[in-house]
Amino acid sequence: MILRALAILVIGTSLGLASALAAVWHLGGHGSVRVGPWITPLDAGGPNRGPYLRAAAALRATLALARQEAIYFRAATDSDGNTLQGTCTYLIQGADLPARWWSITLYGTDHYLIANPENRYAYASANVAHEPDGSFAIHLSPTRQPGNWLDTANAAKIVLLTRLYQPHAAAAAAPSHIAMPSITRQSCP
Amino acid sequence: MRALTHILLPTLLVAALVHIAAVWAVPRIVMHLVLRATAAQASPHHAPLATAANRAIPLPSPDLLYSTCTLDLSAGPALVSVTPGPDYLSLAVFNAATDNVFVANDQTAPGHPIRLLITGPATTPATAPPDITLVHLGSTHGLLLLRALAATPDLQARNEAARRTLVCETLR
Repeated sequence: MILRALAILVIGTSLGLASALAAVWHLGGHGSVRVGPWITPLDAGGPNRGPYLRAAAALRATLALARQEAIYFRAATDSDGNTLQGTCTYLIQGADLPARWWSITLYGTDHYLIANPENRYAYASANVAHEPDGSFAIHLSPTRQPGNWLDTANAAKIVLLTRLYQPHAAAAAAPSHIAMPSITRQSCP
Repeated sequence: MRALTHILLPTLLVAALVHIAAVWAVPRIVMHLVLRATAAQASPHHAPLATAANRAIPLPSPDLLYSTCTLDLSAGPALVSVTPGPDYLSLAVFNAATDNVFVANDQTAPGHPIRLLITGPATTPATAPPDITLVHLGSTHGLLLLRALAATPDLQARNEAARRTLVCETLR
């Protein structure tokens, strides 16, 4: 009797924890919006999130803001759907995003900044060099590139996070309609 | 049939209860750990710009200056004020479940200080003075997080001064 109760507790607890972890991992992105390689939860930090998104955001994007203040787009693949690799060279191309200010930041898959000699981790609307037509291009590469360059040498796999702070009303209402930058693989060893 | 009622159903019941409890607890445990770390710091705490060496919070923005105040409303509401400059600066209030229950920024009332009166479940005053925004936290503990734009050295210098005007105090 005691052994049976113990077995029920151990197996039930294990099943409950495993299913919770799997649900947070998979259902945490439920209802997210995809724009090319970029994915955004409809509300990363607001109080009306579902329990799985709340738990997922707590683990992977602690202290995210509600959507009216900031929209977060994450990309772990290029525009062709291939996983972003630190050993490859990519070109991010786009136009200024519909927000008061925006940034594109490079992270390892652990969601922390990647060490590099330049201490350059991101480009923002305030410091990215624009092309003559007003667009921008940012290179991701393990070797130095001309213009806007983020060094990927110290990471095997990489992810990008685009932040739109104080997004324009139309963008906040319909993040799926935002013209996000493309991510094109240029070379791979 | 006996195995179903005596083993399988109780096991599934335990699994369901643990599942619900775990999903509920994760954000609260994360916030508890965040608050435990920030409670050891001065309030407000003005963190340096994020670098690769900074691994306290995932997905830090290297373009923002962050300052925090730990909110413990057990002794009374918290009065928070900051005077933004001309650049992006926001105050975000998070409850014990990591929900961003309130956010104001420099454009909420341009040219004026942001003043918040943050109340907990047991410390709700009836009204706040007209120049103070009343924020109901919904929990006794929480976190105030200031973000100030620092994408260039000029922005960093201006907003370093602005964030130093942050004051967090408990009204007893």
